[in-house]
Amino acid sequence: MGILFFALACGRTEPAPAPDSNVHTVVLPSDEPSLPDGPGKADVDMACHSCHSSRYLTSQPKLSRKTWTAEVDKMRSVYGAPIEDASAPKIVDYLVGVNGTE
Amino acid sequence: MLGVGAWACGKPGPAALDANIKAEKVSDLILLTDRPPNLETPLHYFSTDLTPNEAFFVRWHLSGVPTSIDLRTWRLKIGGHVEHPVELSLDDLKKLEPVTTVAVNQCSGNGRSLFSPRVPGVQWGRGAMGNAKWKGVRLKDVLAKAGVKAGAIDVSVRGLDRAPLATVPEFVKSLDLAHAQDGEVLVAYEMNDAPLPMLNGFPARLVVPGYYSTYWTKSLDQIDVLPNPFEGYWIKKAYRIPATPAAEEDPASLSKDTTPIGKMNVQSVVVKPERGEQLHVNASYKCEGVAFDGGTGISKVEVSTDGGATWLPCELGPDLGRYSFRRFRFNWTPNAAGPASLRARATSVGGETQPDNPRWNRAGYMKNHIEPVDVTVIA
Repeated sequence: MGILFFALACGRTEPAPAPDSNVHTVVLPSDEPSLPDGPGKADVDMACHSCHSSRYLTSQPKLSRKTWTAEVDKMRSVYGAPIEDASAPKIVDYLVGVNGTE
Repeated sequence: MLGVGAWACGKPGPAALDANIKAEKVSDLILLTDRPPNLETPLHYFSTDLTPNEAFFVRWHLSGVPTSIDLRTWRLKIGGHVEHPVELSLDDLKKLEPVTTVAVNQCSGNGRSLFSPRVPGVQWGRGAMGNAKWKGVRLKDVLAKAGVKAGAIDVSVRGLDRAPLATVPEFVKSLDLAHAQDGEVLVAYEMNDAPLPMLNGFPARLVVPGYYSTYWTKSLDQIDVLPNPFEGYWIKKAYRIPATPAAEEDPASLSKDTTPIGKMNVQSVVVKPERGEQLHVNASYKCEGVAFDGGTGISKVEVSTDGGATWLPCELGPDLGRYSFRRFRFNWTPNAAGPASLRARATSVGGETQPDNPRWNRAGYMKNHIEPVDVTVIA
């Protein structure tokens, strides 16, 4: 509505220019589930979501503590996720709690 | 774990596609993840020889996915161990001799969600694959524009996608020089007679027939000829399989020896009936599916409706080339009401047959065992 009003206010009557066939664009999907509250959630939000959607966590099967620990370690050591030493066990506990098994 | 809550309405499942993406894709693609986007093709789209572009699966590794490309400035840059580095526009590419090939593009992890024990990663069902008619130019001819110098060993390839953090290895892959110059590897700029969708690698992607998608670099940006073996992360550390027969390993004792994933193994997917479908007793039902392998072609597909005790041959559809889907059909008339199942088993021209039992590896790659499709027969 605002755009229409602006166009009218500027007295623009000519049709909008045809899209430039040289420029191809796409709008990416965005559908990030909110994670349940709990200890470690703030650490997860800070460490994980700068690189990928929370859906990367929710779409996983219930993984074992051993596997979640290995995943968090891989994110830190291989991909350089910004996870402090003190934060890593909290993140693992949180992931095991919401989507894992002991 | 005390103190950690749960989702009020249960763990979120795959989401519906939002309106933004519908310009390129059908609304019933399965959104497994959104950032970066990984979208799976529902099985019913495999009822044709060629998978429609708007239903073709989508797989990106890094969240810096290209969202706007201007053909006036886009260039494919060829450099490294070459006589004279060149930058080619899309029009420049189209001046080279065009080649068309029909080939299956399948993710290494297609079927990962079916592994037991489960493994982390994008939880693909059976739809991380598609078959398309690719038009483009030979990578060999593109490399010749720059002139490969003597002593070249590998060719590295990267696209326009970018890592969100400097510490994340950029998605660069490689082929050995002989493979890159075999005349079959293409720089493709058309998919099923149309420009590539942005999400499938506009304006040009690598097509590596017979090989898993990980080598089919999208939205090409830079190709470098290397005088030494490529040492990048996505070959040396990721996308590796156990160096064992059939890439199998024991969850309790992982293989220490691994090798880069390569050609696809023989595979079939039943498209109809779908799991849980209702069939009618004493009525003929047209079963169908697709089969393919790493490039020898499909010699036969058989089905069993008695749990694998006996197998009957299927009718094969048109042969679109040895890298294509080969469709199969079978008329099934169940003669008793109750639970029933259909199994399909493909054999390649090269003599490889789908295995009866699952083969496990830590990354969830190369799933191709025979699976029952369980249905209900009603009176």
